[in-house]
Amino acid sequence: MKRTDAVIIGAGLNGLVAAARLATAGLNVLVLERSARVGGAHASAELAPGFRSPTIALSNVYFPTELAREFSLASRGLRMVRREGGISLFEDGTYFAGYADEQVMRREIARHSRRDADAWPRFVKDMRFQATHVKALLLETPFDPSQRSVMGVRHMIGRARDVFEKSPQTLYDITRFWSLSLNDLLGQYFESKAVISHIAGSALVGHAIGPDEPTGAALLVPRWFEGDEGGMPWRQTPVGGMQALIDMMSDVARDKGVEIRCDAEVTDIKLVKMKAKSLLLADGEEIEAGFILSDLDAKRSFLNLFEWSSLPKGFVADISHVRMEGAVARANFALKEMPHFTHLPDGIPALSGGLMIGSDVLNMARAHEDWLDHCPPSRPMIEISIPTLEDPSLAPDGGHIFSIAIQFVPHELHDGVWSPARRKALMETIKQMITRHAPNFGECILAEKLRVPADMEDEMGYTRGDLSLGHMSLDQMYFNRPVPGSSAYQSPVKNFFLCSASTHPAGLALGASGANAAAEILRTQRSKRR
Amino acid sequence: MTDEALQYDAIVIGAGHNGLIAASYLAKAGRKTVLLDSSSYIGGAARTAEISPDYLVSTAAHLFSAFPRKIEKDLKLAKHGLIWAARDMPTVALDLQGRHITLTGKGKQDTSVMAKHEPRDAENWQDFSRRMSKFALFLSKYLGEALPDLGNDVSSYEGPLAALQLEKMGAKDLQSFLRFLPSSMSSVLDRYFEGKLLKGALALDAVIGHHAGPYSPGSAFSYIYKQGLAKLGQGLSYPVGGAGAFAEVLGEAAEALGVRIRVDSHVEQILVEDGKAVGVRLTDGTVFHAPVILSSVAPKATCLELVGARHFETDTVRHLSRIRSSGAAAKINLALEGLPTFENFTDTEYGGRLLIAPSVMAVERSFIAAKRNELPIDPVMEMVIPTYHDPRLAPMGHHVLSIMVPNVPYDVAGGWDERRDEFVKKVIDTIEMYAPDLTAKIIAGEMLTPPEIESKFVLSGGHWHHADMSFDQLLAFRPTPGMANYASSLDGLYFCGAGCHPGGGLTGLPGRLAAEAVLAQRKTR
Repeated sequence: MKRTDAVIIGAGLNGLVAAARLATAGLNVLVLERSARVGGAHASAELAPGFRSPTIALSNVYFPTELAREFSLASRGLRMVRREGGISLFEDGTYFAGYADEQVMRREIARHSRRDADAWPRFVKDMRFQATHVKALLLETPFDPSQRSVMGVRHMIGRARDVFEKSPQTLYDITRFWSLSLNDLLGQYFESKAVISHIAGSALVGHAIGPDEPTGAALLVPRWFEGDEGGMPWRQTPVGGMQALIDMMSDVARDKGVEIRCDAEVTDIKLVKMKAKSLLLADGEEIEAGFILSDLDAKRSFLNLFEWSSLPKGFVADISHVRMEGAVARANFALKEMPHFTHLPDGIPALSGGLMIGSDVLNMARAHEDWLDHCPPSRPMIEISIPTLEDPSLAPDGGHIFSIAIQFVPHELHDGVWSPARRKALMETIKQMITRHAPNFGECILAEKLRVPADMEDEMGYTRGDLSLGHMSLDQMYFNRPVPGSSAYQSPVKNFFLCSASTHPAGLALGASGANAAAEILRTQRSKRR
Repeated sequence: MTDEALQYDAIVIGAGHNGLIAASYLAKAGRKTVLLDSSSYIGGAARTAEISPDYLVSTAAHLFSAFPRKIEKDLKLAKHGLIWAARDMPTVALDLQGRHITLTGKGKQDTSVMAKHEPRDAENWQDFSRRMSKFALFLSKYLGEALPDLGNDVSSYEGPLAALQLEKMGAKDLQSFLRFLPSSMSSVLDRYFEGKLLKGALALDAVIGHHAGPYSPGSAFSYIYKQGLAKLGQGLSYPVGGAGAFAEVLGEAAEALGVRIRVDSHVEQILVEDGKAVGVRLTDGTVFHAPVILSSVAPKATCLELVGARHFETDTVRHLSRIRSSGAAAKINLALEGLPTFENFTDTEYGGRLLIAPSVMAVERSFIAAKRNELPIDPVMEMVIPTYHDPRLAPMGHHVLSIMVPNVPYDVAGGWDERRDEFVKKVIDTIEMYAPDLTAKIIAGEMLTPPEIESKFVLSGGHWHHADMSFDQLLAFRPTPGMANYASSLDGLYFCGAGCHPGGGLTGLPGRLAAEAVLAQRKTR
């Protein structure tokens, strides 16, 4: 039987980061990937000859610079593309664009409301204040208030004192920020529907929460981790797409001695006295491991890899009640040329940040309500990323890729599955929404591919097609992620750790869950030696 | 009248139950107090009136869920005629197949019907109710007292003490408490129960009176909050003569303590001199003077309309104008020539609080409809048959049915005038699914739309609680940060209505706590 110090199930970015960290610390690491290639949702695929499009991953992602530095990714050629703040195109042909430069941004806002342009700096200041605090927590294990120790109690008292020492105004601002809906919070800064809709829309992309739902305002945070030019912060993506980052991370891992094995599906984990001992592969091989880390979502990790009866009863119930329900479908289009948008000025720079249609707040609320009701969206909110604008290498000359997030799309419909007819209807809706603003869109299409949440589950193993591996609503974040009592990447099973986005900090930062899980393992190891 | 005759120690604006209670506590402490109300009767939303001759009903508020025994004793309400017609009423979740789930108001819960719906639910009920009860108890410590005003008089021990209290809960319970705080009621219910009916009823309990649906994050906290308030009071109860009779009792108690009550006295302006509130002027020009003025009118209206924005700092004005009060409810009262026949009903059920909320999604859909300014397709509702406990409200053998429909839009698409009948029919049709002979027994009826409730009871936005009970408008932030201790930032002006801590409902707590704050802060007259 093969023996190794640590096995990581799943070669997503988190799995690779965890592998690299553990290997750096001298552990023998083996990464097992079910599919034929690494990268999971971030991997690119060829949509049409010469068109490399990201399969499903979301565009609004933050990769911590600390991690880039730790693995010297710059020397391996990691370059980030900066993209502007995106555009919202409204039904009546008006649009709102986001810019990183403060003056340009304020001028754009003033086109919609002078008052809002004045409110912008106040908004930026408040967002940065909240984001700074959250950012500081990304690369550490969450503090668990229920942990019974003198340290824990002391920590808790300290936190409580911190809270009460803040000024009432600060405390009130914090409370509002973490409890209000996007619509309510933004309404306290801005009056223009266009401004509110654009900011709310870009925060909601990828999340299963409506603009009117309390606590939704917290989704604004990740956007403000970077950028201090006073406008809408830059969005940064690696040159070559997420695939480039994945490739670099697997190179790093391999260079540190990590073995990455594809087409290796893990079917079972064997326990001895609540301790993870070894893994069984689909081909019958058994591998013994000191530590096992799972880069799969919490449900797949615990409910598929273990005998339920071997886990504590309450724990199984907690895990199975984690809200994990896909809300985003993705349609990728290969286009022979850039379609002409009637209402947008030619070459408008904000387009690099994406184009939203159907993102007015009322429409998003309705689409979300349809989703709650398991209906297909009659008028979805779509966010079109055009990666080829900043990175033409992704398509043949003149060609472009539209990678479209469609919200909110339920995993299952109230009256059955996503039949071919239903899918076709959804694609038609999308095409109509685009054609309305770009009449020649249909003529530009070379190839298209739609993936609804159910496809993401079938193809990539995301439970219920939820790309965030559990909703990122407050009750499932920080010490509540994935479930209360197991937020420190560990679980009731000794030596079995979670390192996927089902743990803190979820989709707030790429690779952070993996890095934190590895750090937690190394800590355990040190304390054992001592 | 001479000026001296209109000189008081304290003026209370608004003779709703909170105003009455605040005035009574002040008078009890020897303060010469006058209570002014713009309408021609006292009680505000606590009112009993005729639907048609000889059929009396509590027009608006129709149930007491948490009236504290302490206030009853302090103000000697029994002596002034308060008699409870029903106490610890059960809550009955109506089932189309007659398998109604009755949640007992007091004592051990019989889980046999729950088990008929879903065997697992009966097992989980103990765990659910124990946990909720524990959380409610923790919260209730902060609901029955004035909260420290953040920033001003918080000692450095307050925070750590609260943290220690939390720690005392025990690891498992603390974990689920922290998880429940930002959760939606639906996800909490999913964790414990399977049965649609039980979940529907608990979901309605969580959101009734709030502008939220059971899928809204934070709705689990609303549930705990209400349970917390309930811990401070007596169980679900109903006074003889209805809410109006209760108001009369409060009025008598107040007068016996020396409060001067003046109805038909519409305060038009709170007078300010040298940065101090010094009196009020009525619409007829009469002026009352007092160094202390308590307003049970919603804080936003009190400050911005009665006082005027120029007397407050910009930040305060901004806080006030931000207060959200968007939930609304409609009330339908029916006079019946006999009891409607509900399948499998016994005495217990007829005397209970009846809920129509067949599933969590049904409650959510009614909220979605309200948000869209639409009428719910399948309304959810809370009903009582007060005559079952108090037969004198109607002629012998006849009854009244009091129906509260939450999540009703304030401005309905098409206008209330157009859609009123449609709405009433919808509600009655819904009840008829459970009691098929209802229509046959209706003699008369009335319906109050949210705008009518607003104008009749002077509630802004038709909101019974003056302001949404959401995190940023509760506890030390109610009504606004910096004014949580009942004192407004204007010297001499206090709040004593549902717009301040601990919020709406027939609890009398804002009134009592406001009076206590005044007495503590102004030891001398």
